[in-house]
Amino acid sequence: MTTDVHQFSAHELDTLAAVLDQVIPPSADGRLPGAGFVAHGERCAGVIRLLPGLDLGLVGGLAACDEQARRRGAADYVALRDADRLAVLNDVAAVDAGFVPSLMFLAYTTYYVEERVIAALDLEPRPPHPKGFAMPDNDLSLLDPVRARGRLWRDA
Amino acid sequence: MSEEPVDVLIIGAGASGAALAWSLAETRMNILCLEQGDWVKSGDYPSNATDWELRRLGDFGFSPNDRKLAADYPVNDSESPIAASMFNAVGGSTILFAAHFPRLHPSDFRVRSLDGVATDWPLDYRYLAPWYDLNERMTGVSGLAGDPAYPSDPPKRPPLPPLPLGRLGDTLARGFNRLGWHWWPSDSAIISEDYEGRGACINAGTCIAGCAQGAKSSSDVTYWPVALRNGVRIRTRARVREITLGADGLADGVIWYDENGREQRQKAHVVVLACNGIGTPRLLLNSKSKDFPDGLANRSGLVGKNLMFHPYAMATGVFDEPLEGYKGAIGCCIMSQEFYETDPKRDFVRGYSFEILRGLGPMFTALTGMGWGAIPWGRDHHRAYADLFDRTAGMVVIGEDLPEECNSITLDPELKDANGIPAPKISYRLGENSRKLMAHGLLRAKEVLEASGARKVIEEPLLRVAGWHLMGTARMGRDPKTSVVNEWGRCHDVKNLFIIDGSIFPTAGAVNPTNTIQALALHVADAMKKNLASLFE
Repeated sequence: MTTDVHQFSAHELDTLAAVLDQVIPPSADGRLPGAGFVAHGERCAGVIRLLPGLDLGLVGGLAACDEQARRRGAADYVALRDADRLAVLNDVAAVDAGFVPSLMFLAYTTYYVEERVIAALDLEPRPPHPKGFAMPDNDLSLLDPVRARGRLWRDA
Repeated sequence: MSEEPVDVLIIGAGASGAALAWSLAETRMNILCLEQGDWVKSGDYPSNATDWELRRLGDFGFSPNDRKLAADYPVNDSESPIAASMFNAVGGSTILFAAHFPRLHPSDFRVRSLDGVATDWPLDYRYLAPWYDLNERMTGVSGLAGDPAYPSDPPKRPPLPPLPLGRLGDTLARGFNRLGWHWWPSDSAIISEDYEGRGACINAGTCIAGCAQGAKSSSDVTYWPVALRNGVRIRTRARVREITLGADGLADGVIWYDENGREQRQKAHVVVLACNGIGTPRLLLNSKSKDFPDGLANRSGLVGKNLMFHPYAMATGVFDEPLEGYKGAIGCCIMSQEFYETDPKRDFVRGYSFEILRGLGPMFTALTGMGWGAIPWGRDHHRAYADLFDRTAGMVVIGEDLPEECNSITLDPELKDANGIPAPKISYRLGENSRKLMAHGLLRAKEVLEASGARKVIEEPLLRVAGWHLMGTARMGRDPKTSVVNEWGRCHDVKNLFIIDGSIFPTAGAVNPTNTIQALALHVADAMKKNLASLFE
């Protein structure tokens, strides 16, 4: 595993949170949160450590988001209105093909293991072990047509 | 570790090493196993945490090149469309296997005689059947007798009833029935009822990240506890560098490194290799001497040659209704061998199995959907995610790979492990027969999914990650010119050196190999016991 990774500043993490909220925005019905909340967590830092180069790709993209925001007259990306954040992210994605896939990987791996997200998917927010899941008994009458066909194996 | 020789030194504590150790334990010989990994405890497994899926990308991933744990060695798989997947621990790769546990078929042992390709095995299905029976009892296989894809004489009777098919399995079974094609509940190395002191499967669905319940029959919870009680010893975090030869031309022990990198020696009267189809040829090729300049036991030149994977293709159906696919053993549901045997009407010989996979958990649904381009970022994300989550069923095509000398394991000239031991390099390409066979299978898989009600099918012609089955690189046979070991696993060139892992398969069949690997290990152990008085003649 890579250990020599970029240490994200508080500002970079705030920007990352804002960008991740564009990648997975809150659901229209309000049940699912945006992905921004994962940015400050240790789990997010762990995923960044997993893939060599992911940190630097993210840092470069986040800096580009700030730069684009300043060109629009804002202090930085976080200061933008929501619609402008989306526009800036699209602009950055157009010139940095790796940025959005990196964000998606980060968002998808961290968001869908969060208990509040799992609960919003109508699953129990708990580890699979030791409770597991109940399943129905088998209906082996489904095999009747297979049994009726006779052997498939070949003499050898 | 003592310089005193042991009677039997086993290298590798995975599926085959465990079975052989258990069987030999009754001889009361002094038996030691060196394993480069460690024990995995129930509390170590990812399934004890809500974010268990995430650890499949880290320390419980399939590839040693991704995990980079102390127990792992690197594998150069840059010249192969299929990457090496393995795990180093007591239990070996059974720690992460899906536990699909079928037998080979009678025809698999006779491919030269029946189909004019590859080579026949020096033993046959009827001979191996009692060892399959024993292995299935020791393992605690769940399944159903009466499968028409296998002979009724000798009968195959799994000791435990089949695992739940669930809504997903029922859906696919109806699809097979609509087409009039064979299917059957999978033979599974997962206990459906309490068995031999272990608790039954709880349908957690985490099998390929390990089983904290202990219901999956990885060999650390089946053979090893009994073998240890009967006096066998395991030394973990012990990486063997090379096998050494005595003046008499017999193997006399090994040089190995402990967890602190200190070089150690262990003498032995018998050495048994159980390191899988990559690790075994690597160790032999690293054991050069004046008598064996091309690697130990390699006068045939076949050590490392004839590497076979089972190429995997995958079709995933997307359904309108929830399938509860996150429940239940991920790889053990139903299987089909409709297209297993050679059909002269097709443009390839041999065949393939279908293995039905359950659905994906929340995180892998997102990641996989991203890979397919089916789950975008932004405004449409939640709708697209809801269309996939718990609405997919996978089918893999497991194709028979024919042996070809150009597919090989060699030593990488530069890459080394943490102890400075040259690492293996895979050179592999998919043969013409395999390509035709896999294309045929993928089309048929799509038919099944559509007949089952899928509104969309996503096709993946070759899964790179699927290098789980490692076979053929030290094959068995009666002729020392065309094989590395004899019909009971003894090297033709070194009379006290045995190989018992998937390396010795002359051909691959089209089923998951672990049941056969362990049945062969039991057969080899039995032959050793019967020939103790004349073992080196």
